[in-house]
Amino acid sequence: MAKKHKRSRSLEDEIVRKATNAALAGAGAGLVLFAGCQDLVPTATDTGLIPINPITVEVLLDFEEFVTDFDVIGGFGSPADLGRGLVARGYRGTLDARTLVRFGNFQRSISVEDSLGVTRLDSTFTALGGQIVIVFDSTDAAPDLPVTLTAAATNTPWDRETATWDLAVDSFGVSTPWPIPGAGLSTPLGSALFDRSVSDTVVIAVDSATVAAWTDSTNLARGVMIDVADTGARLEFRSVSLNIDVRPSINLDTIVSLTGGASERTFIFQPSPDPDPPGLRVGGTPAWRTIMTFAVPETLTGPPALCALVGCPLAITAERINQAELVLTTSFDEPAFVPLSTVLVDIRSVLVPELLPKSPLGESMVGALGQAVAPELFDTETGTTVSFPMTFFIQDLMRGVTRFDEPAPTTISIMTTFEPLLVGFASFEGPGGPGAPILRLILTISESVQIP
Amino acid sequence: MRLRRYTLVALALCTLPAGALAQTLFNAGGLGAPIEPLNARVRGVGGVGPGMFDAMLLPGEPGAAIDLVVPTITFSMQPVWGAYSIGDSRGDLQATRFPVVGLSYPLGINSIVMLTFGGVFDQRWAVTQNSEAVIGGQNVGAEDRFVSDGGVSALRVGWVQRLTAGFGVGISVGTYTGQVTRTFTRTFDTLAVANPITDFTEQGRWQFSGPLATVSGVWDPLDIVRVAATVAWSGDLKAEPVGMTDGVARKFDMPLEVRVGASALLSPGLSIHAGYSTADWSSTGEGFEGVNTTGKATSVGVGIEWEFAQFWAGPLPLRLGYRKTGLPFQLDDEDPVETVFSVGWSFTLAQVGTIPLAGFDFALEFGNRDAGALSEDFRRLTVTFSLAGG
Repeated sequence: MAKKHKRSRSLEDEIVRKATNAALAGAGAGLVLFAGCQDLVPTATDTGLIPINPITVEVLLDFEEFVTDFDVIGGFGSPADLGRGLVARGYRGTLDARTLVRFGNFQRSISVEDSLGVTRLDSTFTALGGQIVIVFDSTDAAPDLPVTLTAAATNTPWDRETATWDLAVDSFGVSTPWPIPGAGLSTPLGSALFDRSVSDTVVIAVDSATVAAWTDSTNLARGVMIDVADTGARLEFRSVSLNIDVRPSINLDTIVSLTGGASERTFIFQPSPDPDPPGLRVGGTPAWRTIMTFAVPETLTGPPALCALVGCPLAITAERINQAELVLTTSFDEPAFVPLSTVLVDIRSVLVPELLPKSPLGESMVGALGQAVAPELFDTETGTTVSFPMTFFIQDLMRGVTRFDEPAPTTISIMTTFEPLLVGFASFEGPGGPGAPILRLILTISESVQIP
Repeated sequence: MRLRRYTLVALALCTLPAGALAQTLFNAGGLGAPIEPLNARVRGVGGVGPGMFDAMLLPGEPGAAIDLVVPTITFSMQPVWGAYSIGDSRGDLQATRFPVVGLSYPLGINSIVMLTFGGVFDQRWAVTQNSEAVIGGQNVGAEDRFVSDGGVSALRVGWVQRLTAGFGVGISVGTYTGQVTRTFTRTFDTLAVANPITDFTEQGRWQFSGPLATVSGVWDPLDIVRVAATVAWSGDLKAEPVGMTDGVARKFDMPLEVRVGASALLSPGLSIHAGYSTADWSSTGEGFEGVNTTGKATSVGVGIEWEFAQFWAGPLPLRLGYRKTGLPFQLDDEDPVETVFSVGWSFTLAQVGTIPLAGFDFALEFGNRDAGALSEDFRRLTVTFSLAGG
């Protein structure tokens, strides 16, 4: 009996062993076979197997059909935020501009070798005079001919953030006009000729007394007003600095040159652009924004050609919208403020319209860098249409909620990517004219997919 | 409504080179191409299911497991390679599926219970069509792609009982299962336009359900002859839309299918097999829109098996077969027919006495399908792995 049991156990062990080996072999072979299997995408001509026939159409909605409110507001940023200087005199017959600069960050001590050759720190040096060094952006200069630049020391306290052509300070209820509009009654310092065909830099000499006065940081009237003397001229400059020549108290035969940067800079100009433009305005300094509130119709009942093709009433749903573009037509508004370089236009949703102009904004609809629009489209090539993408905004609008399940915004702000970006601004035709804004929709209409 | 101005430009769909993806493009017809849940042994001799001498687990064929005296699991995989042509257009096909999975357990020496999962309809296929549109005066390319992904399967529990030494019956009951997702996508060529155009997508998803039952009889009138028959009943196949699907629910009246098969031993190691099945799909067509069924679809197959040597742990059989199958759904208003020549063999990894414990069965089928302008030539390899033990 025991022997029989032992034989039975042996048979069971053999079965288990063989089955285990076989399972491992089978699994391995299966893996090898499975690894060798892959699907292949073949190509052929029309198979006629697609069971639905969608139709794609382009629909253009006029301004009155999709916009319920429209406004142009300005005042975003100030000339001080632009980081550039501007001088102009009767540019395009109207624009005068002057740049105000206040220097700072002067060295309080210098290292000088004495007669024994030992380097010592000297804080009692004497200022001998200096030079204002202006580096221009020669590509934005007009005219091509040489022009004369002048410098004058300001004598009226002025505020970098709020100074305008008429007011030296306009802040917190304090309003101080210039003695003469345009930072007038300044003390002339000197002049220099700028010829952009020769150099992009101009140097104007400054006497020692003026330099000494500019080192007094408690004097809010200190500074220099830079102007251009030639009518019709307009120049932008990238940087202004002050080089100071000093004599050390230790080694009187030595002259040391120090550099002081412009710690405050702004420009003032006149006249200001018309605050009630006929069309859309984007950019400038301070920057302008165009605000639009949308109400796209939920259904279309015409025209007959559309209805004949896809049937009416035609519902405009988020799922049917393949593309939505705001089509604007460039226009020529204020000649002196035509942009001289590429305008980077951005469109963002206005998240809390009640808080305009301070409302928070949504993400960009055109990309982080904005949509580049060439400057000539606002000058010699006005009347050109420019399309801005807003597919996701319109899809959310028709859905009523965003992709993040938040209430869909209905208002947009058309602006530049940075504010301010340029002195000039972009102008587009407004409602009521032949170039009024258009909403361009690409819709695909299809019956729903069914099981056969 | 103050609609003052529209510009309307319809897509001018110009047929350009397009693509397709599937194990067979016949999956595009009706509910798809039937997946016969047959293993490599049955395919090797051109069988349709019942009547094989060998004990095996086949979905919907409880009688075939009558001699599985040890617990067994089995699965099959099936890669297919081929080429299709539609008119002047030609392309290649390649895909893999797993049509058979099964598990059985003996209750005593005369009863076996089983659980099987097998394919019913394959609905995986895709096709693309390139188009060209004129939008805003610009030519914009577009690619239309329709993808059907999924299929119908069946989950069954079964029981077979040997009533006498030469006769047994089996039954199984189960349910249809599976899903299909059908997606249309129109993709625009964004390189041609300044601002991107998002894809248009229309999608629907359906869940399948429905009861089914099978009764099998196996009769060995002589020691060298086996005859078997199966009657497969099915309730309505229901397709219910899932989630946000706009498409409607459908019900399909599935036919009663009858399958018979017989095997005879001509000499030691040499046997022949024949099988026949039929089902009338006429009433199923009433649930379709724009799809016609072929009416009565039949399948006929014959084959031989010759155990000509011993190899490794068991016999090394060679099988040859032929089978002609009518598919249930028309394509191009014609009845599709599949014709197959097959060769098969087995490789036993482990065997105790006459009971195989583990082994591979292989069947390589060379076939073609035709309906109207669509024609396919294919090579279909079925590999079945079985493992038994206690």
